Amino acid sequence: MPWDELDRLIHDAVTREVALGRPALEGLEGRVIQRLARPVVRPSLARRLSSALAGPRIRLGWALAGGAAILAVGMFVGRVLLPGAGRLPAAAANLFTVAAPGAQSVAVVGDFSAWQPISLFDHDGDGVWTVTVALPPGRYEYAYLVDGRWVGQDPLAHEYARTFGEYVSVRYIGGDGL
Amino acid sequence: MRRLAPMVAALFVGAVGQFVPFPSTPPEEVLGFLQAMEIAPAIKAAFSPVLGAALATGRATPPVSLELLRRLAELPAPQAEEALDVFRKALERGFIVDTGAGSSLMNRVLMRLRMGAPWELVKYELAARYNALVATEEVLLWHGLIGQGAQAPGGQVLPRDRLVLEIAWVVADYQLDPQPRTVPLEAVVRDRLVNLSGSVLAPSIIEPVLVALTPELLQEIAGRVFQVEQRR
Repeated sequence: MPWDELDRLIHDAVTREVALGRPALEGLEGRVIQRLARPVVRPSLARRLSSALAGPRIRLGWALAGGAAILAVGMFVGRVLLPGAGRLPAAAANLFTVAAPGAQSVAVVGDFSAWQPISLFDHDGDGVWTVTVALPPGRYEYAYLVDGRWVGQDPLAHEYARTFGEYVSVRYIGGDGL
Repeated sequence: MRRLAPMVAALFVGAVGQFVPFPSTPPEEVLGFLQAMEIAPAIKAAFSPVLGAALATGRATPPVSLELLRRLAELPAPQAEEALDVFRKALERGFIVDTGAGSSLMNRVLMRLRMGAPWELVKYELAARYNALVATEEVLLWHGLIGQGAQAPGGQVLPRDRLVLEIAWVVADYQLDPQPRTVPLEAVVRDRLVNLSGSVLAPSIIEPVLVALTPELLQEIAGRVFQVEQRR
């Protein structure tokens, strides 16, 4: 096909599209002004909450605070309503978490479990393993076992203790040590 | 509905998702296990009433005691007997050997066994920490910082018993740490006590000790930690 003919075909197609779209543009300015002049309809509280929680613009700090509040309500409900939950006097839920991508098994051992392994889980497969342990106030020594290997220095520990060359992590629960 | 799912999940985790470390263990199960251990009958006969009294008063807890006995039962009898002898002596003096929440002789042995430490090291540390308990009590009594304790496993556990345990523990931690000393012992002890204030130790029992604590007083305690010949 000659170049002149191709140019003509493109020109005709563009002209046709502009002509088809012209009716939609007629009166556009007036319609915009009319819309702006309408009173603002405030959405319901439920809709605003829903969009605030689900929307991508929510701030990280608010998201974390909301999550913690929901978790706290859950803990309270668990303590009050579930059978047997009241057997843990003054216990605090403590999250043990460690990044161990590629590990086959991760456990925490400590003086809260007589140094018996408590398994951590990586439910979403992102390499971050977690478990929550109910602990009464005190000072706890612990370490992680990553595929059976002793990992005594938890970056989230309050301090480390070392005797005979091996580290253990230390966490304080309750009191001024927190 | 999809937006509600994470909230419901969080509520569920908060309500039931906590791991509770120990199932309840009756003291009879602990004492029954001790009787079934293949160790010298004389050791069992001496340790059983002491352990029973300790479980009743809170100087030891059933789950940790049972776990300790299970692990000791896997060792040669002379090693298990050596360990039980130290625990008997400690309990007869009224010391807490297991708090159920933190520092304790029983848990320390379990930790070392979990780490696969050689028995000589386990025995050495057990003796050093026992020495620290004895020395701490003697020195604090001498300086009038604590009153007389029960001196027996069946007496009521007093706040001063936990104070003795925690000071002995931190002094032994310091003495057994092979790292170069960058912080003086007094600062380490003060820091530990402050961290425990309001949780396992009442501020009212810690404050007089913090006032009276001196490097010399602590050195009196520390000097006895490495007396490997176990003190009577």
